[in-house]
Amino acid sequence: MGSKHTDQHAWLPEQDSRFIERVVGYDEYCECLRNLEQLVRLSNQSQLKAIDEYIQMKDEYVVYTNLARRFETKPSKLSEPRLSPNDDFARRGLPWVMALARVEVGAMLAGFSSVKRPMLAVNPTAIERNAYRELLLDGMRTHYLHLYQDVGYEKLNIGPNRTPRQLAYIRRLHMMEEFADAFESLGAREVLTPQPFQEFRSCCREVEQGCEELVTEICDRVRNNQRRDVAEVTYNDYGMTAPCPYVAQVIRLRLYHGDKLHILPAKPNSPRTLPARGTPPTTPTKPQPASQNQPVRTGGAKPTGVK
Amino acid sequence: MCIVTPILLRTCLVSSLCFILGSSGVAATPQSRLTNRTTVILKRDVLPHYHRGDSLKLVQSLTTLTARMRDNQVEAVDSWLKQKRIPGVGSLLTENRLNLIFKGAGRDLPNPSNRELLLLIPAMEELTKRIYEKSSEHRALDRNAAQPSTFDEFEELLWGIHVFHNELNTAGLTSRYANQLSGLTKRINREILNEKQLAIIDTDFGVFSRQLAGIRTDLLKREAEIRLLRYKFSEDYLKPSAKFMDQILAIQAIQTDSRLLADYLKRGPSPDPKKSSAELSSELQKRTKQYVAQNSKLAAQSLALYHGLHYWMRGRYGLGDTAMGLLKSPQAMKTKQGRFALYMPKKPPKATDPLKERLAKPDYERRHHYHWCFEDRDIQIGYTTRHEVEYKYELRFGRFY
Repeated sequence: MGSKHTDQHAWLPEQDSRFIERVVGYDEYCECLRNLEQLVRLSNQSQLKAIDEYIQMKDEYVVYTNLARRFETKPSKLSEPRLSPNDDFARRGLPWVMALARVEVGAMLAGFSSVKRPMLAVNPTAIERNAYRELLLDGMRTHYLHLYQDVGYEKLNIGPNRTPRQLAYIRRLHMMEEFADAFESLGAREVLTPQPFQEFRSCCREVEQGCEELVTEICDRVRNNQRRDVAEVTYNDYGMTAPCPYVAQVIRLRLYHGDKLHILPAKPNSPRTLPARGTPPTTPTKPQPASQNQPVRTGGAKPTGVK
Repeated sequence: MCIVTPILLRTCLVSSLCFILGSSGVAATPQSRLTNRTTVILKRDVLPHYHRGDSLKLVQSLTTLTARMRDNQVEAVDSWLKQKRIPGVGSLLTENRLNLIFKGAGRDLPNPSNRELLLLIPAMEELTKRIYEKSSEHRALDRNAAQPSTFDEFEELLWGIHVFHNELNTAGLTSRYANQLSGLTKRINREILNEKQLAIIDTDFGVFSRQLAGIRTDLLKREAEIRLLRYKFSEDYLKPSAKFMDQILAIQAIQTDSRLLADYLKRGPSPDPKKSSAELSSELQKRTKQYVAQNSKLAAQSLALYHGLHYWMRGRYGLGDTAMGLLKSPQAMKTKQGRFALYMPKKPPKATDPLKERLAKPDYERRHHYHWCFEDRDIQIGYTTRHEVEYKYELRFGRFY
């Protein structure tokens, strides 16, 4: 007697580690930072000031900040204040150029690589530290405020093909966690007073919780799709049962026509026994459920119920 | 009692059909000639490959699709694609074939079918002609224009020349590739072609190639003249009394111009009428070496600044092939050219406030606001089978059949 068991396995494929090279800006900003960091190392303060003034004159190097204001419905303790009444949040200069490149590279590493603490792996130089910190906070706030208005996030647990959508939001939330972690490590308390800092921590907790929930859901879905014995086929004394009746028939014919077939001995008390060789074939019947009327068989004796 | 005869029924059916067609205002359109098989291939293969930016698979699926199509069928496909706001078959094939060639993956391209040749050649001709016609108005070739007098003006003019160079390279590669494809048209039976198709396969891309080569030579000579002018202009700023930034820009210009002029003078005529190519090249190299030796730290700083800002511009304003410019093509994971290829603005851009302007520059004020959403993984399901044998003896079959 034998049986064939089919088990179902589920898994989530790993992200291709080379995918990050497709993201526009990764190679470019990495190369940019490599060169500008060397420039900073080679230059003294007055030279850096001259370079900064040169870059400030060029409109193509302007970086606009406080992009979170697009999604702000009302001011909060974390809202970025204007530097002056006419401040249009356009920032110029070498620190902002480097900080922007660093934030973008860090975000790409957070989303598409397994680098630990990527926003700190691309550690800022002293001249851009404040700008970097500001862009981190602005990035984190923009994503956070947008999530409240994001219909896709609301409907994440509805509809087909949830897994890719949920994976995308896990990436987004993980990126936000890295932004927040880097911001805190770079001296969040120097920038935020206690109350805004509490609000910031509360946002971080919400993000961590949201990410954890989505990760748990996907893990559960993978686990629930691991199943043993989704299909089972049992070999009886004559061969395989349905769904392969043709093979069973062939095997039965072979048995009665004397082919070389080593048959397993019958189990004691099994509901069937094989007929002796030379006996004309009988029509096989389905195994009957055990009942009180059926006699208990001993070895060699035919059951009275077999036709 | 009303007996609906077959004739009456047919009349009712025809008139109702006319009513439907009349009310919608649509006559039999080319789209009605699309077969089910064609529609399935378009939806299953062409659209996804186009949106993913997979040039190779897009070319493969279009090659298979169009291999045996007639003109009206191709028009029907073009009309269907236009409704999805996607360029026509000819443009898609041309653009994606050239894309792969530029990224060093031309070897993987399938050979075009006869039908595809008849689509590719006109599209390539149109592309080449467009760039050729632009050349007559280009500022770089206008020797009567005022000479630049500041580093910024030189930079703007040289940037325009650089962009035009790239366009001429594209046109040149296109016409060379079209020339190769024209060789394949010899296998087409000319007797089955109409006049328009005969004109297509008789297109002489050799003429285009020669004309473009002439323009390129002219442009190279003009660029050499401007670079020599800038070299002499920069030498005046390599004094300790000059401002630091002027010194930086001067040494950077001197290094770049001497390198590019040395390349040019190996095969081109001298831009200085008083000196030969060899003399000028040797003199420039000697002087540049001297300047760099005297200002080594300045030279290193200038290179770092120039490359740093140049790559920053590429990261900020560059657009990739796919995902609305946020991703490069899959070739980026395989070849260096694929990783380098980006669409850049033709004119030096000016950043604008993204909250105030609808079409702000750059297109993505922060890339991390968008690229997180590209995900195509899903849970995979697989099956394994295991056998359990309950008894000591194994069931063995001497012969199965």
